[in-house]
Amino acid sequence: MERDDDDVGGAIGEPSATYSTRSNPKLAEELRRFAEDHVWVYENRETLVNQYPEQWIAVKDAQVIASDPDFDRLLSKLSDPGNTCVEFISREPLEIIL
Amino acid sequence: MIIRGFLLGDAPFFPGRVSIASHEGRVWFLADTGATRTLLLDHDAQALGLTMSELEPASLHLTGIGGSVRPFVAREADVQFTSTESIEVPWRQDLLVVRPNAAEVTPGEVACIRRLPSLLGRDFLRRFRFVCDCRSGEVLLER
Repeated sequence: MERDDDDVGGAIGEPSATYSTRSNPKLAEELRRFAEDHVWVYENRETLVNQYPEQWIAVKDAQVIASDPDFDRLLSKLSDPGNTCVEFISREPLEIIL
Repeated sequence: MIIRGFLLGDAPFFPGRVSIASHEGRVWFLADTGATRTLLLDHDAQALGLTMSELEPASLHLTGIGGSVRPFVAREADVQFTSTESIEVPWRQDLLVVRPNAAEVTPGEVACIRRLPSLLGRDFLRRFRFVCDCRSGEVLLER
């Protein structure tokens, strides 16, 4: 039997899916540009690590708009931190098992 | 309907928009088939401007190799993705938020945890056919 989308057990409020057919080109464009900034950081990591070693950077439209070793200070420099690509630049990659 | 993701190295990511109460922002989710639940990690929660007073302690614990943490819950969070045709893919849920407890972990550990990406777990991924082809670079969710 096919499992229903919302048929999940758990201890907190359950996720509910409401799939719309609403077109939202503005959101699609926002997310595309946000993703492109993350891709830009990845592709330019070698250059960035020389310029901003062990620092948090904020990137918008493939440009570093702020940097700081301290995360909280970086956020305070941004006008819209929630909608900005923020990444930590380090010579040592973070090895993670999630 | 296809949501296209991005392969950075061998890691699949999806951009999404998260709205919690009056807070709204974009989140770069790592698709993690090892995670049972979708998680908002510390640096994204802070960038969104979420304060501890807006979060409730969750009734469950999250367990990983490094130990167990009690997350917080952001009630009725809206997570939105978009398809390749620019169609909204909304998802409302009680979103788990992981914030390190400075009283329990060292400053070094807090710094490491802060670098972790938010995770798109199986509670979302299982609704789709998930493709992550490291040879071709293709990452997508389809239903």
